[in-house]
Amino acid sequence: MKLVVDIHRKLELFSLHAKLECKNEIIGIMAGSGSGKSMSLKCIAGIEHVDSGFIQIGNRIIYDSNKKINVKVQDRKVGYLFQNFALFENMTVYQNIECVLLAHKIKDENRVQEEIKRFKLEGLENRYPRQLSGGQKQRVALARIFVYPPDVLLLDEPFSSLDRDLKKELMKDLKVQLEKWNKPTILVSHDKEEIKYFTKKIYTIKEGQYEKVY
Amino acid sequence: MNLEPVWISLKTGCISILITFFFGVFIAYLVGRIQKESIKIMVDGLLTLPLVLPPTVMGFFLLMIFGKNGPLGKLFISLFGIKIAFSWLATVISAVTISFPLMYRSSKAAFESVDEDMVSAARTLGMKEWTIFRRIIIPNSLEGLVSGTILAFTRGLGEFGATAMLAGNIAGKTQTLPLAIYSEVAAGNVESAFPYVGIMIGICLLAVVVMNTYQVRVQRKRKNL
Repeated sequence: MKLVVDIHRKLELFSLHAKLECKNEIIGIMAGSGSGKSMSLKCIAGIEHVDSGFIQIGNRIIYDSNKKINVKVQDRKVGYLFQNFALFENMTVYQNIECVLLAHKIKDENRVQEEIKRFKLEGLENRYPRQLSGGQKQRVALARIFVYPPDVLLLDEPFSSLDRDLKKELMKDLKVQLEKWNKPTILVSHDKEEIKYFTKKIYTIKEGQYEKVY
Repeated sequence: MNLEPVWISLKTGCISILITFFFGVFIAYLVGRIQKESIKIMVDGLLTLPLVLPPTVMGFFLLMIFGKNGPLGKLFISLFGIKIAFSWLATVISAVTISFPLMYRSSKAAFESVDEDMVSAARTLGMKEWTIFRRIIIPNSLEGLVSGTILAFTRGLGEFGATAMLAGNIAGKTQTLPLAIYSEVAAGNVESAFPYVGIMIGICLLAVVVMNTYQVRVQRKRKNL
């Protein structure tokens, strides 16, 4: 699987031109706030609109301004880990994971249990998001994404809201999971150490332009 | 004391809040989905008008529409043989029209306050728009919906101007509590108006207390985890 992105989006202060290729690997985007790094991810996922360009996953074109292709967010198969994890507040941990399967018309308790085990959520099934710690929330968010695996994974500042001690352990766990999964993954962060821990392929954004760092 | 206005008011209030609730919630959802900002502002303005216009002006429009020479009034007469103006149904139509903006605006504000990332996350996870509305947006805006419902209910119960225009003030048929109070006072029977006023205050106070109790309980639940 390969993700190819070449998109333009006009922002208030500058024009964003996100251009990158990602095979079955992890790519890091390291830049400060307001650089358009989260915006890039949101454009790939289809949450934000794109002015022009091209996005392809494997042999699926999900956006092409010339051919007027713009696949709905729901059909892009792009997993997105939000900075605040964006769990469904009205649902328990179990329901948060189960509802993704139900949305795809699958009823499979075992699949839900598998993810609960994989992300060490045993005993938390009946808790609500407000009753979870930051690290637990992140694991629920990941379980929710992987219960119906996407083709691409976008991680938007996944560790910025977590305690330092917790961070290290979670980074280790996530790295193991990502290596097993082995599909195109983009990790966005302002923290150099964090990105370096996951990958050697790093981009930065300067005035809207992507530059390869390493 | 004649209890008829109390029953008429309760009947009108309960039926109209059911209609207002579904219209308000559903139309708030549809307006929220309008992409073009300029159209959204126009539509929102039009839907809010019944709240800011004098009720008699709204009643005037309703009479033009539902009166025996109005388009919908004619339609109902020819289709079902029902005359809407000055019938009990007219009290419901008036109450729905006047209370609708409160339900609509409360619902819209409640929907907009749901975390945008939560909705985006649902989309990236493959959930359809209607499923997102039912399973995520509605459950996470219950507080706003409850207060909207109470506000719209009490406003509908207290409807006077538009009701007087479209439904008239027919004792035993369209005379609701507010109209009964007006009639008694106009006829110089201030004493007969007292019980009506008391009942009105009682119902409205109860409604607001229910709303506040619900909100306190929700907040406590949140704090206690």
